[in-house]
Amino acid sequence: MKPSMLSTASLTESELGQLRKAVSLGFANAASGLSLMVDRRITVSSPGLRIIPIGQVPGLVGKPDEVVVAAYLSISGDAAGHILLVLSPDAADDLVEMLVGYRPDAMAALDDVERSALGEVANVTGSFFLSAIADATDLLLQPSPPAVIVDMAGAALDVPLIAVAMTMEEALVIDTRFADDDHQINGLFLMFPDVASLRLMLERMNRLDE
Amino acid sequence: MATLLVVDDAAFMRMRCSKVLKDNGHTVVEAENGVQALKKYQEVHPDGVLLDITMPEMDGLATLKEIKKLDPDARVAMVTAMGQQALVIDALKSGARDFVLKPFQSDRVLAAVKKILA
Repeated sequence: MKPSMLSTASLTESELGQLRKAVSLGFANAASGLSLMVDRRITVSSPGLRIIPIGQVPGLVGKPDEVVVAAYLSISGDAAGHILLVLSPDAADDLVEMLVGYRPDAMAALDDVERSALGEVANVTGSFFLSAIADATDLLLQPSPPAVIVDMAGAALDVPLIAVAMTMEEALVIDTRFADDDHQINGLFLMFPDVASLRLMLERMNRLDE
Repeated sequence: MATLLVVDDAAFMRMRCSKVLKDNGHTVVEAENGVQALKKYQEVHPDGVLLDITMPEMDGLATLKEIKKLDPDARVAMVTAMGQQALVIDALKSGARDFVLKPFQSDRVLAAVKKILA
């Protein structure tokens, strides 16, 4: 391993616990936000959180030639990185139906409203997650407006993976479940902070937790 | 009931906002960017404007200033995401009468409309 890289082993249980707490708080707030948007109760939960080698991320979202729907945000401010919400086409259909009230005709040809609805889910979830981390670290973390990509898994993951591959060996993977009375939708919420940013966040979390 | 111009680059947010307003008897005109908003403002002369802050090309703040040049009495509420307090303050100084934080509740949108039209 290159000396500048961060490994899972270097994260303590306490640091992982802090991350889980930020995810839990961020997702609870995201659920409230999404519920406000559609005037109906939506829950967002995280059945699991783990850090995996970046090389394993493509395999996690499917075969390279399988189509996925990915909503992408970049992080700027006191830390830098990327956030990606990755969904299977079926899950994306369900999510559009949950928000807009109808299923898309064809995933490959999402209209403006359907694409924007998926972007807003990523935006709300990512913003509240970053806000929870910002509150826990006293850092300014700003998400970019969302971009929605419908592409083969390999292509959809290229941008964030290329951007972080030089400084980061691992990605934070958050299993994510959106639900209402009629749907249970599973997706993957991936966060790729650059190595300096992740170190800074963990350092601040530890310091403020003491 | 009033004629309102809803300006947001996100189609889903325009749809949500428009539905809330139409369900409450208002007439809605939509624009997806600042340039289109200025054109529609001149065409329609709406009673009020709900204007998203974060938009590509001409953002909400720049659009607000241009609308105010066209009509110093324009009644505008800004629609803003979390963490944009500084921009909201700029907008209020530039003549916006209220702001709505996204993600928004229907009642909050209606309250903002009531306030800017008062």
